[in-house]
Amino acid sequence: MLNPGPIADAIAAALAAIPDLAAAMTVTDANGNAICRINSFHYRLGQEHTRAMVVYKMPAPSMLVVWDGTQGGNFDGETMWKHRFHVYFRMGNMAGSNDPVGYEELWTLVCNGIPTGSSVNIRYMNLLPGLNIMDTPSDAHAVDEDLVDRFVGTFIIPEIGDN
Amino acid sequence: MATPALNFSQYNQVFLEQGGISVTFTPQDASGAQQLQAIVMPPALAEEIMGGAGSAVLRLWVDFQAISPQPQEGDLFTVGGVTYVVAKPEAEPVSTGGAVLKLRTQ
Repeated sequence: MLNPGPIADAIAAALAAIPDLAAAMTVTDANGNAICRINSFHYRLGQEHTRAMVVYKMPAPSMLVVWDGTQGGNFDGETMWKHRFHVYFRMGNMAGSNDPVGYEELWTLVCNGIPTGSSVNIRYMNLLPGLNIMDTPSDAHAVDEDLVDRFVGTFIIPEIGDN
Repeated sequence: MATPALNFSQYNQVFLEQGGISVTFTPQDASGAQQLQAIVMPPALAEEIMGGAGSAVLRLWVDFQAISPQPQEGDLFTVGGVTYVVAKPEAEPVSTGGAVLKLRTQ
């Protein structure tokens, strides 16, 4: 079985390589540097905050890829493991924007945007050796602790055989 | 004799002077930034950084009825050098006149 950690990193890297999505998630810091806020989370108690706190503290805009668990089973002749990832979205402040990028546009970019260097969108990419293409992804509305809208995408990625 | 209606809002400025911090409010209507007094309120989840000292999420109580224009979603507040976006204003009844502004870093 593959370590899900590098898979989360690969998902975040692929999403950050989608030009329009990266642009929607990029801000300028106090020093004038552009920062793309598409990141992956890893469970590192003592080094990182808890997952719940990291999600709670997400600035707007930002995206966060989190491993949510792995389903084992005899799915078919070649699949034993399906890794599940959540992609948390926070859209940016669209006050005064004539061309707002909302959750609808962000999810469309995730599903249909072509990452730089790829010929296909993320749904048809083999993100790492040993991984099959993902099952058809899903996205769902949620509200945060302040009753503000956010969305959570779900990627389920099967392994090829047992690695 | 009829009991006069309670008007707690008359004490709002007293509360702000006693327990408020200075914040900068920048409305999106281009009317310009203004200084306000606001009281830091407990957030939904406490962070490792105290509210008002650079936390990612911040709740501020303000004398809503005394502010013009009244804060709305998308307006900006700067607190301790950190800029926050108003994600959700929660106004109180007219008798108290305040509002809790739910802010998030941008």
